[in-house]
Amino acid sequence: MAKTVEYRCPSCEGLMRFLPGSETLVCEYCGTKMTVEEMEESQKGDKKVQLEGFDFASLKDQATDENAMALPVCYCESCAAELIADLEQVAISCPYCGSRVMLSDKVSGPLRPDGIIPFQYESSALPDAVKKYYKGKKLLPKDFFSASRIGQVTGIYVPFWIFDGKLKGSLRYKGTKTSSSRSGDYIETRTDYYRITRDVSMEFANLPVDTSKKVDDALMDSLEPFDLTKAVPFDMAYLAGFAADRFDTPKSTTTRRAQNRMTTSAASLAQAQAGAGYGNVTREGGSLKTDLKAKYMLFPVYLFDVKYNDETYSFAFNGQTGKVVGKLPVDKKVSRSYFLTRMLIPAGLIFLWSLLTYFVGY
Amino acid sequence: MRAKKERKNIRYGMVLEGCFMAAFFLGLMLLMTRSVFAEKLWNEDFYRAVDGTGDLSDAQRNDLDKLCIEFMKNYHMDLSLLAVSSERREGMSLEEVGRQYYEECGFGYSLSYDGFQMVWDVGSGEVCIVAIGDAKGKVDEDYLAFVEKTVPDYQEEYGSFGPLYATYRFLDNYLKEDVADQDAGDTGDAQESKEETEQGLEEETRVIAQSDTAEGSKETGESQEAEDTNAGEEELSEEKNTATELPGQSTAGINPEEKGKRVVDRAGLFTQEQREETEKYLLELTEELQKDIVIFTDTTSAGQEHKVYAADFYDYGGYGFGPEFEGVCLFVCMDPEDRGWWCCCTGSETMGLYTETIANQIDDMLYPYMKSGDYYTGIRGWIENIRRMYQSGSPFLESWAVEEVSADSRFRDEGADRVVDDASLLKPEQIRKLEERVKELADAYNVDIAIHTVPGTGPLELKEYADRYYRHMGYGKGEDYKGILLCVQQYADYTPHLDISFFGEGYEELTEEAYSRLTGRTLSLIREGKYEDGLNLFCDMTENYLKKGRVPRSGLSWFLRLLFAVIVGAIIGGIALGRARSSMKTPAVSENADAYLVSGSLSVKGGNDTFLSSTTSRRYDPPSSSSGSSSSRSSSSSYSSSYSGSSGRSHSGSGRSF
Repeated sequence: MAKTVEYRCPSCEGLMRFLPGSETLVCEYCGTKMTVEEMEESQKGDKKVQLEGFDFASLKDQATDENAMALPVCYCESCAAELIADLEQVAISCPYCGSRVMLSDKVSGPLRPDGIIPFQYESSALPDAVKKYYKGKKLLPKDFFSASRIGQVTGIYVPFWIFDGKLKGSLRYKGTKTSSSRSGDYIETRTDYYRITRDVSMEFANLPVDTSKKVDDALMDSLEPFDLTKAVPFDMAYLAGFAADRFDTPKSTTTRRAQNRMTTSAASLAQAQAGAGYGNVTREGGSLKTDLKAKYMLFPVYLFDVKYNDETYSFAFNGQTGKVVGKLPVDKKVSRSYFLTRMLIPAGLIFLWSLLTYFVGY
Repeated sequence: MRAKKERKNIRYGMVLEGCFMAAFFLGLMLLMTRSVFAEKLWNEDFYRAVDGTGDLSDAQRNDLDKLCIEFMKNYHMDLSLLAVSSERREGMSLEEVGRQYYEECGFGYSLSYDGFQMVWDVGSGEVCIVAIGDAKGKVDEDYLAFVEKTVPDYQEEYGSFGPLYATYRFLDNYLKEDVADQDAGDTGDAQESKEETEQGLEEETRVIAQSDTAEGSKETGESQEAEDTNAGEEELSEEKNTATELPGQSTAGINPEEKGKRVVDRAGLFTQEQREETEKYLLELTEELQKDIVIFTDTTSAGQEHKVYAADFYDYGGYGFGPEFEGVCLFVCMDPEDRGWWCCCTGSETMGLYTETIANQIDDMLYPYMKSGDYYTGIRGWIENIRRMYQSGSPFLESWAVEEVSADSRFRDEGADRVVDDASLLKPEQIRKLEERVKELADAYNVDIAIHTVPGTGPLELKEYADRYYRHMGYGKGEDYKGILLCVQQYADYTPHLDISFFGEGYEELTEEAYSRLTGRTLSLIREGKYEDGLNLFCDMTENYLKKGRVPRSGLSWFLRLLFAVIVGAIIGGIALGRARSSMKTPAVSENADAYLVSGSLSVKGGNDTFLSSTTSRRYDPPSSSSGSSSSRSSSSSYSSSYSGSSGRSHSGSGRSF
């Protein structure tokens, strides 16, 4: 059974949860506040749940088998309910009493994150942030503001691998140089073709790649950037009150994604410099060796849906920066009238000007 | 025996007597023959005194001629006096010039051509007296040198007559006094001869002046009759002299009946009436211009280049005015394998006017007529272009266009044509209709309206030409000469140009936009060759402007403006929609890591670039020409700024084949 940790208030034994934007935990019942360090000190020697049996170490490098028999079982400290946790989850909500149950083994040992960016925003900030996000979106349906509804909001720490990379290698391009001259009634154009070889090296730092299959990559990429300077050493206390996932995307997949992003950038950035003085520069070949280092971190994200006209639109809220992203509906009628008004008004003004100038004698 | 001897003696005596008689008669016959023959070698037809610079008057020339004949009769030695300009020597020494001239003119007394040839280079002042035949030794060499040195001094006071007469007088004094045996170094005799020469000069000059006054009318009358009855023959006598001065030989061949004619039509391009009319016109014109204009047509150029053939005809035909033989000759060759024309110019003034630009303009005007076979019209037009070229410096400008404009010279001419088609763009019926139209407009709006087409405006800008033309024709209504003049300039098929000038006050302000609409729409039709339509459109737009103060826009113009507005609107609408769509910010997976590049870490170092291959492409792109392209013109004229014919005289010219 997985080892679960709950944080109880020393005053009233109520559940403690981490307060976003601070380094404190707060009791949901009596309001007692304690810092993370104080809470850790108070928890030493007070482990109420014993870890039984599941070896996560073997899952370090590969995707896990979702065979229910291998799923870890844990018990809720509040109501003693038997809970089955997904292999990737490090903190779950008890479906019976709603308590947060954290599976400490999942965040210990080799699986322990190198750092965490704590939540800075409460979930109560969401409605205003979303309204602010809607503003300026001119192609939304007219009743979207009034008729849309925010669904369940889940505050979750999403697992990311943060990559630093050094790229080095040789790239080959093809480029041309042209010259023209006049010969009688003809213009002669000479085009010389060249193979361009360049030695390229560059470094990238702090490239985040989310590793949770459950979370949409597009949403996570759109939530960037996260400010890693605000990251802190991992502590379980930060997870209090939030869900958290462990990485479940194979490292090879994640590594490949990071590599692709880096090499794509490298190719385009290098091409601009390599082709100086040439025209029609195209990549011909070459390779870059990448030397990657990765850190495992947890980033704060609120996930929620917006329902409108029986359609559900997925949104995400960056728990550190407050950035909202989500797919918005585009109303065709609104688009059409938007285009027509912006076409007819200038066209009308231009033609009116022609009429005016004619009648004054131009 | 004795009788036999006596009979023998008598026979001998008779034989001797017979021999004597025969010898006597033979000798007499020889003498007579010699004198007759001598008389036959001595030809009075050629003037003995010739001044190539033209300074000598006819009276002076005649007087000198008489004196030289007298000299020849007295001393049985010819005497020829020749004044030349430095250019005419063409590098030859004076002695060479003198000997050549003497020989070509056939001067000389008796079989040994005895005589003296005096040559005076007017430019340098040098004099050379050549003794030929038995004349050598008749006058001392030193005395001749003295004369050569002295006679140029008389030019200052007596003009060309001075040195020529002085030469005669010095020689006459010498031979008359028979001082041949005296020491040539005795300058006292030379001085005495000089004094007598000077006295003679004064006396002779006075006599010539009196004879001029007394006989001026007679000589003039005679010369006038000579001009009327034999046009050019008076020139002919002078020309014959000058023609025979020329070295070389004409390739054109000069027929006696052609001499002096301004129209020599060997190719038969003109009818007799056309030829006579043109001949008469050219004689009047050349007299007025003091420049020769000659038309020469032939069925061949005798294997010569047209320019040489034309030059020879002109030079050896004795044409030209003044010391530089100013004039122009148009040679038309009708050889089926070498048809073309050449305009040959002579004289510095003519050559200076006939630039390559003007040559091309004149040839462009001539070409369509020659190509179509309307030779008479084309050549008459060519003559007018040459006339204008002499009078105004441009083949298209009349003299009024280049004269100073005086404010006092303003006038109104109600009867002047309001549609003048000098560029020959319209038919007579079209001109008539336009005249009616502009008159209607002028009467309705009290504004004079005129249309003028012109082939070219020479050095003048079209606007300036239009202004002068308006004044020259006396257009304008009211005190301020109010009117509108449309000027269209086009010749051959070059790009036409157009100007609309407004004169006087009281018009609605015409903006640049409206003005360009007025000219642009008219010009676009004229460029297509729709001259009548273009000019009618001008009248319509002018009427609208005078009536409403606006120049109307065409339906096409309105449609294009509407289309432009719609296109611009669509572009703006598209841009706005695109920006609105992008602001919807649909989440997307990032494909690159540009934002995570460590600043300053990018390093791109060059290797050796390898040349692979090369390709060359050609695109046809002829240089644009402001004159536009044409398919009906032939190639441009061949122009020569300087060349010589067989005579060595310098010419310029241009020509074209057709």
